[in-house]
Amino acid sequence: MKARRLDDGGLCLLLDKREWRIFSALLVQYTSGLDGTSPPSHSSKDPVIEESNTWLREMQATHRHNLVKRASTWLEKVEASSLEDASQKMIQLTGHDVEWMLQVFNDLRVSHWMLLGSPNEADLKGEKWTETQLPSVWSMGLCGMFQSVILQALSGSGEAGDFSEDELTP
Amino acid sequence: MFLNIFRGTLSSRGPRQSVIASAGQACSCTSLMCFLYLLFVILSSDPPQVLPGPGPASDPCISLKPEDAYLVVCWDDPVNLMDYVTHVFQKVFGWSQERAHRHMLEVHEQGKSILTRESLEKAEHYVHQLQCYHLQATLETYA
Repeated sequence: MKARRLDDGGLCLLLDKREWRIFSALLVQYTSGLDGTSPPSHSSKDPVIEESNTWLREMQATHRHNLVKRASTWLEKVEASSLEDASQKMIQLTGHDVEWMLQVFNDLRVSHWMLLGSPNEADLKGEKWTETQLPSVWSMGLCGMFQSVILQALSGSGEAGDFSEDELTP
Repeated sequence: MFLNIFRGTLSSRGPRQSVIASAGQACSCTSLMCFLYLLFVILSSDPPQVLPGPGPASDPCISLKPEDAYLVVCWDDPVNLMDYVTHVFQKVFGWSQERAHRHMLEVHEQGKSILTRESLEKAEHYVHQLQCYHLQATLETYA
C-alpha cells in the first residue's frame, strides 16, 4: 500500500488487488465483532474519579459501537464503487476518515494482542506461536503495517509509501 | 477618601445634571445612595485577577488555577506503536511533533507521562479522547 497526503489533510491510498483484499478483510474482522475492548482504567479511591471512570467506560463502549458502524458503512460504500477488473484501488480519505481508520487498525492490533495473551514486546518477536495463534500474529503485523504507512504519509516522511501519478493505471 | 472624592464630583455637576437632580430630589435620594454604595463596593474591591490559562500545552508543574486539580496520565503498554502514540498526542492536544515525541518517549522509558493538569471536565475530555485511540490514559488527582 502506498499513501500520499492531500492538501486538505486527508490521504490518498493506492492498493493493489492483494493489498485491498487484506485491507478489507481486516475491516470485515472489525465489523464482525473483533472490535477491541476498552482500555483498562486504574482504580482510584477518589469517588469523583471512580464516577468518571464509569462514565468513561460507557463513553468508550458507545464510541466503539459507532466505529464499527462507521467502518461497515465505509466498506459497503467503497466496495460498491469498485471496479472488478481494476488491478489497483485508489481510495481518498478525509482527515476524519484517516483518524477513525487509524483507531480501527489499532483496535484490531490490541484485540489480537489480547487474544495472544497480552505478550510483552520480546515475546511478540519470538517464534513460539502455535498454528491457531499465527493468524492473530499476522493480523497484528498487517494492521501495524497499514498504520505505519498512514502515519508516515501524515508526517510527510512517507518516502516508502508515497507514489506518483504515473503509477496509477487507468 | 473615596467618598470625599465622589462628593467633589457631585458638587461639580453641570447645569443639566443639577436640573434633573432637583426635579426628582425626593425619590432619587434612595436610589442615589444605592448607586453610591454599589460604586463604592465595586471600586474598593480587588480588581479581577487574570490567571494564566493552562491550556493543553502547558506543563503540569506550572502553578495553575485551584480547580485544575486533575492530571491526565498516559501509561506505557507493549502494543501501541511509538509513531501512533506521537500522532495521538499531536491530534488530541494540538502539540508540536517534537513535544508529542518527548512525551511519547517519557511514556516508553519511564512507564508513564503526565500530559496535562486540568479541571475535571477538561481532564475527562482528554482521557476520553486518548482512550478513543486505545491509549491507556487515566485521570488522577493532583496531590
